[in-house]
Amino acid sequence: MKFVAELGHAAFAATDVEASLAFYAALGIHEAFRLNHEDGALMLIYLHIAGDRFLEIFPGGSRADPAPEGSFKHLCLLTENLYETVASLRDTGISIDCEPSRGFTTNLQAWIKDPDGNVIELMELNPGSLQWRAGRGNVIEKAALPDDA
Amino acid sequence: MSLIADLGHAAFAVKDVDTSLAFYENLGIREAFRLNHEDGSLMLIYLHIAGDRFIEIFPGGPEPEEGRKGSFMHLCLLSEDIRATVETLREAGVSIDREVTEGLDTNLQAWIKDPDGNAIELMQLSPDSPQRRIARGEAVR
Repeated sequence: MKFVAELGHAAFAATDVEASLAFYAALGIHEAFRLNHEDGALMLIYLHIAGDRFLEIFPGGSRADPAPEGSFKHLCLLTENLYETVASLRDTGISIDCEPSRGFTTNLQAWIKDPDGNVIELMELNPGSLQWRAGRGNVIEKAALPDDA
Repeated sequence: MSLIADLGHAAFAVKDVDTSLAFYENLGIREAFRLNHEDGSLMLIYLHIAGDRFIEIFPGGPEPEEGRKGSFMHLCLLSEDIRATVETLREAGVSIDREVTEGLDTNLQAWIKDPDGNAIELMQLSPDSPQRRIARGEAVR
């Protein structure tokens, strides 16, 4: 088994979500589904690129930053067995910032950092999850979102 | 034809190339090929993930410092017809920072920015490029 099966997504904090959606729509990259906080406020939007590859757009980019260098948040790499990957990484001395846990989109995730401090999410897609279904051509209806979304 | 065919790569500037190579090696992500400047010094290293997808690491990243959030450089999106993609984007009002040119790796590239200033590279892979050869499972020296 290859530890990392695929590039999953890159995540950005958008200063203006609508501007970012319009920008990516101009590139032919469209919204697949969105996830909300419990209070109904937007958590993030998934834009589908191809296969299991997405962009994540989070609201709340740092408008106040006088010299913003971008709004990159993290890179996500997909694995087919997260527990094995994490155990192997731990054996090689890599610090696991967040142990494997199931996110509310039902996928398993864990978090590490690269040597330069870039945040890397490791994810094992759960068959049937929103990402898994969107990556296989399914339209995600609002009713299909998690109860707490 | 879709304007964007796939995610191509994410690029990071690294402080220590060997440390970063070892880090990705632990993830099972290995060096595919390197590109050098004309004087022979390292320009960047391509690490292969899957298919046409890579991570690029560039030497000369910033020193670690408190509060620095990382060393992300750019995200690359693949197009099957970059000139058509660029023309469509221009008509849609997207500013083209760098027009279509052929890179060292024989691929066509153009550059834009997203609304938050993140650099986005558009790339059309050439069949003989090292990226495509790696994706086909060929050895690239």
